[in-house]
Amino acid sequence: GQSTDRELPMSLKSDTSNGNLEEGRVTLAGNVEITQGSLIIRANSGEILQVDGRFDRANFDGTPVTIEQDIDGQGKLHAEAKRVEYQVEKEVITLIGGVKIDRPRGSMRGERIVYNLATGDMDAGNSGSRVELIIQPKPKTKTN
Amino acid sequence: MFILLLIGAVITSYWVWFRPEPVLPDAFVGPPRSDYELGQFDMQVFDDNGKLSYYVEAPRLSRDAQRESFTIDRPRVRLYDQREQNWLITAKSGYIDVKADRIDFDQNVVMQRDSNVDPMRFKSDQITAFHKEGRVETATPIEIKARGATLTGTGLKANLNDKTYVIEKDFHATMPPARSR
Repeated sequence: GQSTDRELPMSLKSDTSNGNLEEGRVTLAGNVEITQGSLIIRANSGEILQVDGRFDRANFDGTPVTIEQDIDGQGKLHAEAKRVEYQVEKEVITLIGGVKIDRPRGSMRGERIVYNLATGDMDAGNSGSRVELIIQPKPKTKTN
Repeated sequence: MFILLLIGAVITSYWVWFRPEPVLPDAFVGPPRSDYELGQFDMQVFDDNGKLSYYVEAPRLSRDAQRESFTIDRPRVRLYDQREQNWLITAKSGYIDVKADRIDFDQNVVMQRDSNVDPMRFKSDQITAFHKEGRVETATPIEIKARGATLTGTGLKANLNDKTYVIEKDFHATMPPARSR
């Protein structure tokens, strides 16, 4: 789930790829699918940057880009946006353009949302565009 | 009637026993016979400016006079890129054409960069090296190991000088995770 995914190796798939082996830059095109534990990102294209041989950050573009991940003990996260910027070290995903984030605890809509994979915090920031937040009521506890 | 039969039998038996053997075409069509061969050799090839372009050592080389080309068994070839880094390529066989501007490697082809700093390794069943331009290509499945990542796919074009690559189909890669917390 969320807390262990970042420790796992990452798998990248696409139709084609080009890049620079020395700079550690990998560009992906066509049916891009990234998996890292329970985290699954699907996009039309992507660019991965390695630092010292490690996956450092990635940018994805899609119509839309979709993200799925198991949230420790809370079910699944579903998110989508036109563009996703993933800073692996900081465990922060920035979603840009037509953003939808759905989680069991609630959903958020906006044009730019920063999502912290480690804490689950969501920051819609002050991009000037409207933000919609839907918080699910707590399930009624059974009174006997 | 009996005499006719007897005559027929004599003629056919003569024909069967004494007819000349038919001349069969030479069934064996093997590689053209080489006009010379080298055993346990090494060869240095220089570019137009006299700089070492590549170095070959192998147990056997055979020269094809008609095509003016060389076929090499189990070649070990060292290519030198613009930054004097050298790449060792080994394979089951190699083929150098008349213009000597490309080397075709076949079966169990392994190409690795001699570099403790940042080793790179390509593995495929066929690789063509255009050493003058520092390019390598293949249309077959390829595996590249570089900087901790493993990249695979089908169809490769790579430039050894600037280390850029294109994988044309079925790309897949695995990368180690980010630094642990």
